[in-house]
Amino acid sequence: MIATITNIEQLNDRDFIFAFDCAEIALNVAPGQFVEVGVSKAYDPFLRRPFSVYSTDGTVIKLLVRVVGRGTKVMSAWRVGDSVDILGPFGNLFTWRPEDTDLILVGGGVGFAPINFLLDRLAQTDKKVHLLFSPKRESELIAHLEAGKNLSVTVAENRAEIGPLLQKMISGVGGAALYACGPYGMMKLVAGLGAENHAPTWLSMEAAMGCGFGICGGCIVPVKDGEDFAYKKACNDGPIFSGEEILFDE
Amino acid sequence: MSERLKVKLNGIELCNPVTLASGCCGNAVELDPHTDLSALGGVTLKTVTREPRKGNPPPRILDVHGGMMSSIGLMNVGIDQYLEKVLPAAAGVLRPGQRIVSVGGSVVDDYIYAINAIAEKYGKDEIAALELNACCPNVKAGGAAFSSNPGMVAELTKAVCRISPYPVIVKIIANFPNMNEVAKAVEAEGADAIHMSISPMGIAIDIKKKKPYFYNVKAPLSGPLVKPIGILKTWDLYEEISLPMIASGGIACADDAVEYMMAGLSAVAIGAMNYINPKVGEEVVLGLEKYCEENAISNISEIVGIAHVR
Ligand SMILES: Cc1cc2nc3c(=O)[nH]c(=O)nc-3n(C[C@H](O)[C@H](O)[C@H](O)COP(=O)(O)OP(=O)(O)OC[C@H]3O[C@@H](n4cnc5c(N)ncnc54)[C@H](O)[C@@H]3O)c2cc1C
Ligand SMILES: Cc1cc2nc3c(=O)[nH]c(=O)nc-3n(C[C@H](O)[C@H](O)[C@H](O)COP(=O)(O)O)c2cc1C
Repeated sequence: MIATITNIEQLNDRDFIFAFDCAEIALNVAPGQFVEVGVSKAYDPFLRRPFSVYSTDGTVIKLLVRVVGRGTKVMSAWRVGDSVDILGPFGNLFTWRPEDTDLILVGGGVGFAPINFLLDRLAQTDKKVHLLFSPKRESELIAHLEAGKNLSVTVAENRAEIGPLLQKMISGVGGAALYACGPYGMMKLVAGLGAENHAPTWLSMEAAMGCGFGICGGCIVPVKDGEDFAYKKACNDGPIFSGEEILFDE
Repeated sequence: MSERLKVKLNGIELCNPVTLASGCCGNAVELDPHTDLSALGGVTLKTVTREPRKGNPPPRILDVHGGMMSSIGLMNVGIDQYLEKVLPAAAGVLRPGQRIVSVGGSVVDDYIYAINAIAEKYGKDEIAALELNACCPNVKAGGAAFSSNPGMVAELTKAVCRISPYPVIVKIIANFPNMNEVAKAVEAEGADAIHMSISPMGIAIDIKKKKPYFYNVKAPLSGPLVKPIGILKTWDLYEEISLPMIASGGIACADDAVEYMMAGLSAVAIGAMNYINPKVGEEVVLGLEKYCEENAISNISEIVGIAHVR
């Protein structure tokens, strides 16, 4: 569907928040889901680019986009009023169980995007939310958050600090569920700590994507399958996977 | 649906010449929420093999200027689960006349096994055509693609045509210098149509890791950038054989379909464009309808090969 850009906020030299008026998606999307953005009408870049939904506001969806390559470079030149072809929402959702009173959310860099949407939705519940963000030098991504009765915010200087801080948070609350999105190494670490602490762990995984809705078989994630392994599609089977399920590289 | 777009490729009758290419429309159910499948002439399901295949390790996809490279490795659940779950689900969203089933294998017997299994459950009126994915490596020939060699493709085509209750399309990869000989072998052994996959091979190097981007090093290119090569291959082959031809290679709109048909195709197959525009198939059908109307064409077949007439 064609969406109009209603606002662009530039957070630093490479991170942008785009707001699109797009009722069909805004009214149907849930935290963890993503959209496929058409970057070029001239097939260059050819494929759409996947982005997690960062937040919604009525008929508007927001995306947090980091410029890393050709497609996102094109996007960085977009202006308010431009129309953009967006498909979605796609993928499964972050879910939480009634018995989990405390949820620990871990966002690494621009991986904070789906975590932000989850934070928004959890703010409408009585859950206690503990956010761990890394790295500190990218704190402008969480500058809008206000800690309060149901939200605590911890910031890790860098990757090395995530492990000890996360362990402390898990021990502190006892019996929390974990939700994470960020670089591969961070996800592996969170999955490991989740397993050690018997905490249900949900990870939003990334893979080079062709279509976003299950017709190409491109965006696979290796998962455990008994003694063997299998590939699941990040778009249809994910992007949210249980930490126990993912087969991480050695 | 109008009579103007009806096409016949020997035993294959399609309500229009627009099909979706295997591997580029999933198994129809994934695409169903995003487009009106009933508008299409045919939908070729993802290639199925006798045994399940995991496919290649990631990454499998790379965007390139004007198209993409991919290295999927025929990921599929194998014929048993296919017949239990996949084909019944696909059949639920496609009319019998739209269903094209794609079968691959490592040896001729694998193809025969899978086709026999399908034929046990689906009568000849329940499937429009069988597409042999002859682009697969033949393990008995050191991994050379069946469609790289006239003798190998002849053996496969002959064996399948003997047992298949359905009309047969043989899909070849159009990268080999002896492609015309391969196509003649397909024609001689009794296939109903030939499908050329216009997928030139390429290599991408990850300059940060200093190694090839894909695990299998080489990977096929697809998308709009390959269309001129496809028109050339279609042109050349049209002068060599009279077997009805289908091709997939960068078709993105109705004009592309018209161009390919003028070069000699009887029907087109749309691949990678489905990824970025899941409605492309129905848009091409509408565009062809309009083209016929504007040009007073009573049946689209009139334009097949028309550009060759001097
Ligand atoms: C489900 C999902 C959700 C996502 N959500 C977000 C989000 O909310 N915000 C966000 O910013 N991003 C998100 N991403 C990532 C985002 O989709 C990519 O960053 C984006 O597609 C990059 O597009 P590009 O054209 O700018 O980069 P590309 O040019 O496609 O490059 C992407 C990456 O691949 C590498 N690359 C490109 N070509 C090659 C090559 N030949 N060899 C090796 N490496 C190569 C680049 O270095 C770069 O790191 C998400 C991804 C997924 C799968
Ligand atoms: C990701 C991907 C997966 C594919 N899988 C198959 C397949 O399973 N069987 C097959 O016969 N062709 C497969 N193909 C080839 C396409 O059917 C088609 O022949 C080719 O992509 C050229 O057409 P296009 O340029 O329109 O994409 C695949 C292509 C792509 C890009």
